[in-house]
Amino acid sequence: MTLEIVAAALVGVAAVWWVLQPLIAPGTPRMTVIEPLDPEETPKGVALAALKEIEFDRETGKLSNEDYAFLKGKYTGAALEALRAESAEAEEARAAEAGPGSGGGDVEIMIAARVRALRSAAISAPPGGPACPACGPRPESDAEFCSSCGDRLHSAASGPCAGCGAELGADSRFCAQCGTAAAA
Amino acid sequence: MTSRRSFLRAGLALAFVPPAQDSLAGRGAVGTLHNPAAAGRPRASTNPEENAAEIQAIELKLACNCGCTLDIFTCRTTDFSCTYSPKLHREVLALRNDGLSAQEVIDAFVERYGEKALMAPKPQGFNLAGYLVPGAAIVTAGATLALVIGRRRSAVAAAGGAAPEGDHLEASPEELERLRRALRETDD
Amino acid sequence: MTLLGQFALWVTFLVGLWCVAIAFSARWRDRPELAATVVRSVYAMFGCLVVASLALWKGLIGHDFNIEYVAAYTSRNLPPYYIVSAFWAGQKGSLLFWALVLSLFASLAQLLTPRRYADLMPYVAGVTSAVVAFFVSVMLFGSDPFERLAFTPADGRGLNPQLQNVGMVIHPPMLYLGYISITIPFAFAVAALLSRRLDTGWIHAIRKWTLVSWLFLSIGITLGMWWAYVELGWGGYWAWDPVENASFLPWLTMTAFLHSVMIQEKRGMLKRWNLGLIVGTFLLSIFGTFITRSGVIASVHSFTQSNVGYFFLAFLVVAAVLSFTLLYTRWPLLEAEVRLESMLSREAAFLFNNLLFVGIAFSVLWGTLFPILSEAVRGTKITVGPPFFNRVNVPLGLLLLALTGIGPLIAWRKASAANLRRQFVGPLATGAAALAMVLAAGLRDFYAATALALAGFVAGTISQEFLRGVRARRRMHGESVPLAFFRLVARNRRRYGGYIVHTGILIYFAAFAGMAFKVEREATLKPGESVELRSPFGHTYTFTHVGISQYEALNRVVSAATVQVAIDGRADGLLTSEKRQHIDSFKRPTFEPSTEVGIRSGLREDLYLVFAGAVDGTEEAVYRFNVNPLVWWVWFGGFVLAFGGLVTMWPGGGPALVPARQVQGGYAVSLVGAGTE
Repeated sequence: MTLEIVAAALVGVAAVWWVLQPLIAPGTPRMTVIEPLDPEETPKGVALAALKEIEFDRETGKLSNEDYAFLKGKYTGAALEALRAESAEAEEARAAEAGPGSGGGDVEIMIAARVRALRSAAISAPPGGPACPACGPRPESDAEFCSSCGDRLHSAASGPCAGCGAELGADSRFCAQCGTAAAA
Repeated sequence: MTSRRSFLRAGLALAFVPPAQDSLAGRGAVGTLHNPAAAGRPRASTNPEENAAEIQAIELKLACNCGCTLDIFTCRTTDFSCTYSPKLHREVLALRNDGLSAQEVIDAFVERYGEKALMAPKPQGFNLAGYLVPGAAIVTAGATLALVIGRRRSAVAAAGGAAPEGDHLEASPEELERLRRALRETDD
Repeated sequence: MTLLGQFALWVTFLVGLWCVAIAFSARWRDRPELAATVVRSVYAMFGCLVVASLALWKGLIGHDFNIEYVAAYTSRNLPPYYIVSAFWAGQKGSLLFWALVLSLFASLAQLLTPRRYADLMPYVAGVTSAVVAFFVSVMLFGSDPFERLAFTPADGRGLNPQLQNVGMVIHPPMLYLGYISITIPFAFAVAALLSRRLDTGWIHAIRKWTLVSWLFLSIGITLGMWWAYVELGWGGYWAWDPVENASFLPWLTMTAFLHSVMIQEKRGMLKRWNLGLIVGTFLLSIFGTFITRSGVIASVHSFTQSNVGYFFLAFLVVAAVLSFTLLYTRWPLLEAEVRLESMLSREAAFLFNNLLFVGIAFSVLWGTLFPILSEAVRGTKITVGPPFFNRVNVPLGLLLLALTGIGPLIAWRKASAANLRRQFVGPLATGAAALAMVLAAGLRDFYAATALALAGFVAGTISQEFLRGVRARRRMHGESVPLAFFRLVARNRRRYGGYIVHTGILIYFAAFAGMAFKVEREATLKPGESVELRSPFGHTYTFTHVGISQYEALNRVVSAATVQVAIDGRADGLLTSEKRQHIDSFKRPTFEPSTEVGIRSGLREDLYLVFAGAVDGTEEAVYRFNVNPLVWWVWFGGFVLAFGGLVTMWPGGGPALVPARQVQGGYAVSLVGAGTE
């Protein structure tokens, strides 16, 4: 009986302590990971999935060509809009990053902005910047290797060799194949 | 030789001819149970007439009133602690023996026990509501739905179809390239 | 340990009240420590309920017959696994079980829900805790599982023999799991309404939960049918009993939701409807509990009539009023994003599908309550039995089956005549072939023939979907047939898992159609006498009574009556049905003798033997013989259905948008609580 009362008291105290602990002892701030949305939850994801689906539905004979054309137009529009919104967001983030005026502003916002910028970087690379043969234009203007696949980058500006047509490296001054000096 | 044959004959006779009387004191060839109380309520023997198909058909339409939600036939052949269903079974048999037709037996039961004697209420009067309301509700809701969709469609058509054609999409080649790449990256 | 158990219940109740008070005050929105205490309360309640359950289990296992519940549902000679199931066999224990499982689910919901829904979670915790606290309050104020007796009986009553069955060990928990898990989607719906985050976010958060509860309900209902078939002994598996109906109702509305939610995800339509369905499903689950425990409607299942029913009625009314008020105040926020464009579109097909599901739910509810209505309106008591339900619901069910075949064939948006022709030729041909076969076999029952023809049609639809899907993948991606098939299902689990579920459903329908041809008869036989039954498949079964043997088993005296079976004159083994007189450890009889049916299950038909009793203590036996066609297929359909459900909810699947590498790049790290000085 006594044992039971002690056990009951323990249960009660443990429960109350556990529930009220955040109020009594706020403790150290917790690290929380904010996950990106599921692709299916973003307008872009929904539009892309819909585009894939109508492709499949046409292939299985469920969509007539006329309907397919209509839907294709509709979802392409939606997807483009989503992509534009995405790059606009990235632009905004870059602007925020460029102007550090806020002086030690919210770390959180800065990190988020930087991450967003990086995420959309591949698609909003500065024109004339380096490009990876596999992954397309890269955002880092001074990169030599692709940060995505590790392949060597070539500058869009350098282009092919005037002598033999071989691809020139980003900073090459002479062609590795024929020795012709690269156009400055 | 003969003695051996007669011995065999006697053995065969013993093997094939069943003993005239069971070892336990029973009735004829039927033995008695060691513990009859454990085998449930004692039953009366039934005859083929009372198990006839038309009796069964009548009883399937009549509810037992023991609170079991079953019909008389199912209850009396399932819930063996029920005392109502065997009694009701006797009543059905008695009414049949009086020369009543199946329908007359059922009517007699309704007269005797009220409408709840029927497994399903007669489709007349207020009971019709029971039978028809769900169907009517579904048909009405379906018709309303069809009407609303139809009206909406004509409204859409009147507003000019609102069909974005491919050519009215304004997209730069770079944007289209981005879209293509995003689509490639989407697993399918 | 009853003191500890009772105390734990009180702690659960008080913590629950605290959680509800903080969660709905919404002060936690800008005070993270309050949000933390709300979430912690959920775990604390689970911990306390575990303690309370262990206390009850200790009483059960330790045969502490001073506890009223232990004495009422167990005895010393009850097999150990039934002691486990005695936990949920009675009213009081099942309330504790319910609260325990609900708080487990509530904790899992807090743990497993992705962080991005963090601003919904305290509301979710509030709703689940309110429901748990309600169940605990029923125990504290109405039906205390830890109630002690004034004396200690030497032995308990033992478990009701009909509950001493494997099916009964798993059927109620499964059904409870289904009922209980409905609370989680409901909590998310309320949370979304309260926080006004009414985009598709909450729909994504509850997707798995709705599938889980649907799956548990399906399995629970099927197991219930199986238990009724093997244990209750009336020869069938579905009798439209109010309690069966009560479990069927939330299943119907949940199934409707699983369909219509796809429209919301793809088209942004039906937001209000979906919320309404979730709220309705939850209310129906509470309504089912009310029916089961109040005894307002006669049913074989009803727990003894008790005041507990009033608790549930009050809770039902309060929950309904609150949720519909909430829905009403958020109504304008739930505007559809897109309008329906065509009658011949899959959206429209889904709408009609929903109409039928909800219509059938209404119809079943209507039939269940009609006796009360009739008595109130006319003052006449009536019986609403299976013939009524079949007459009203079989046509609706067949319509639904037809739609199962039609729906998948129609494209999103709108379908053209040419495209319809292309889609429907194959399935219509298989349907016609099925009909021809059925008619050639001499079957003339209208509903059964229609059901089988429609089953053929649906089978055609499903096969065509798989075939064309595989072919399309082969054309588009150049995959081999097995790979294409695998990827087809893996990449679109919801669609193709759904088709597997549809296959299970059509098997059910075919099996139900078979039951229209069951044959049954009663006969009294002396040893050596026999009776003949002609089966719907044209066989003649001869049953010859062999005799009755009596012996003692663990906790019962068994009287086993055996018949010799012959098919078309060919001997084919024995079949035994038993009467069981359960006894306690002092060999005193405890319950009325129960009947254990003998079943021989086959692909075509089941032989079903019921030993009704012995004539005047002799070996002369009264039997009921049944030949039940296609029953095996009901259980098989259940397996297919559950398998399809598992495929749908298997993690992963769905189009993955970006390679994993890039997703990781998207994680943002933030310091929570750092900025709140």
